[in-house]
Amino acid sequence: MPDPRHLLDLAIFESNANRKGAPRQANLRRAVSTAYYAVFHELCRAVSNTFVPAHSGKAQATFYRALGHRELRSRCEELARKTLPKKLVELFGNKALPIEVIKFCRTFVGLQELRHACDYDPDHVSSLDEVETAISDAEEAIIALKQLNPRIKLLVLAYLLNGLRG
Amino acid sequence: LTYLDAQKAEKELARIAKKYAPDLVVDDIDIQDGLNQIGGEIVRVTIVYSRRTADDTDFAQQRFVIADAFHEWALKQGDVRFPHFSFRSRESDAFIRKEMMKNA
Repeated sequence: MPDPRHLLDLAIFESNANRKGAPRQANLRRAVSTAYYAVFHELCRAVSNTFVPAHSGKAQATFYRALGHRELRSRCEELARKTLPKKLVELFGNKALPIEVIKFCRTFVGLQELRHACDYDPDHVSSLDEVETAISDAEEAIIALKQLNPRIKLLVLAYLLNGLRG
Repeated sequence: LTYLDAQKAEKELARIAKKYAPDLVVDDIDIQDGLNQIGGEIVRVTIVYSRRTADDTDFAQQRFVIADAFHEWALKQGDVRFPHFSFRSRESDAFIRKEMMKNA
């Protein structure tokens, strides 16, 4: 598994790769993409570590790869609110989620949007400070996920993985 | 704006920014309807500043709180779109505008 911390280091390196003059757009775009994937891999790692016993080989890899970017985005949008939608209140047993969940989810959605712009929108222009902000946000999101209360984390990961049926 | 009163939204965002990031000197606020990269409706919010807190950690927290408070306000106004925030320094904004003009 890639170490999300190393991906963040790589994002910082990529953003500064051309030290003479203005950073190249290619470098800045790569840095945003790497920062997004640092958060994504942290989430994949959390899911596989939570739901599969250690050293389970291929089962762990299967869970690691179970998260879809698009589903994650829409589920994160639902969780990134101070007041949960009604259908989620029952699952979480509360009308509001801890600030760390909101922070993680809001950052994930923002980073994914920026990552898509950097990877697929030819007209997108990045600036160094915007990219540095994205990297710092990614770091904060990873910390927020790690700091979650285990009971809440279990529910959040289960929801991000499977959503709600019916 | 389709679902929000633009002037009201800008005024509210300025109030939120002042409340949660008193060090932030805001030069410009731009709120636009937009589509995300997968075609969904969103609100694009750009805050251009000439000064912010010197502490990166504080600024990260302030950015989060501002976005969160605005999102909450927009939901109360009936706008369920997800707001995407971009915080830019004046220099960064000028650079982006210049590059976009070059590309146009």
